[in-house]
Amino acid sequence: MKANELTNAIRRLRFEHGEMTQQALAQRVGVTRQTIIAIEAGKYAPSLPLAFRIARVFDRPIEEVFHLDGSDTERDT
Amino acid sequence: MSLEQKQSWFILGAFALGLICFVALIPVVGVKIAQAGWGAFGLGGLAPAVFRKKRNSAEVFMDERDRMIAQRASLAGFAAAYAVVFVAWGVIKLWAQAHGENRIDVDAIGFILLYMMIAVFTVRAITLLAMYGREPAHESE
Repeated sequence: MKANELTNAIRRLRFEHGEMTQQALAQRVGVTRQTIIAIEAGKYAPSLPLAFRIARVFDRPIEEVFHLDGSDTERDT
Repeated sequence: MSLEQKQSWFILGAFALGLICFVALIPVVGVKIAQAGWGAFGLGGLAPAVFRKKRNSAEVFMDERDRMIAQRASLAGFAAAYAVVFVAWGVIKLWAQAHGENRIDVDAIGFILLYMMIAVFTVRAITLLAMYGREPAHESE
């Protein structure tokens, strides 16, 4: 894994929230489905406001959704 | 496929059409006048009119990632144009110097502008499609 790579638990959280689709999440946070796909795959690091909006959808603190490589929080990927 | 991707494919189609017209005209009218074939590339300017956001649609058509990709692609396009202008200018000056010409054909300026614009839009479109292409497009729900 590359240093300072941003990983996330979005996929797991979507399934824990009634198998929420990528499209549904995208609509909730105001982005395209392709952006959610890119974020889940680690191809795109979202802006801080978008990261907060995603965390708010899952009602979790942002650090439970996004993890920076080297941090000691639980990883999902 | 995003609006920007559709518009980029449309612009590349216009580029291909312009190139075909240009090459097809060369045997008929010569290289200099065949440049008129690039006029077909102008059809690419219709891309925003052909592919546009549907009225009253709640769907998000462009978000922060799309804007980031568009910005980087535009930068690549302008960088290509920058290179075209200065390299072409240098080549023309050296060619004129080597052939003992004190003057440069005024059409050369037009050609530089023409190829600069072609470089901007073509490189922007290719870069944009390449950036979108790096991502998994058909991930499961």
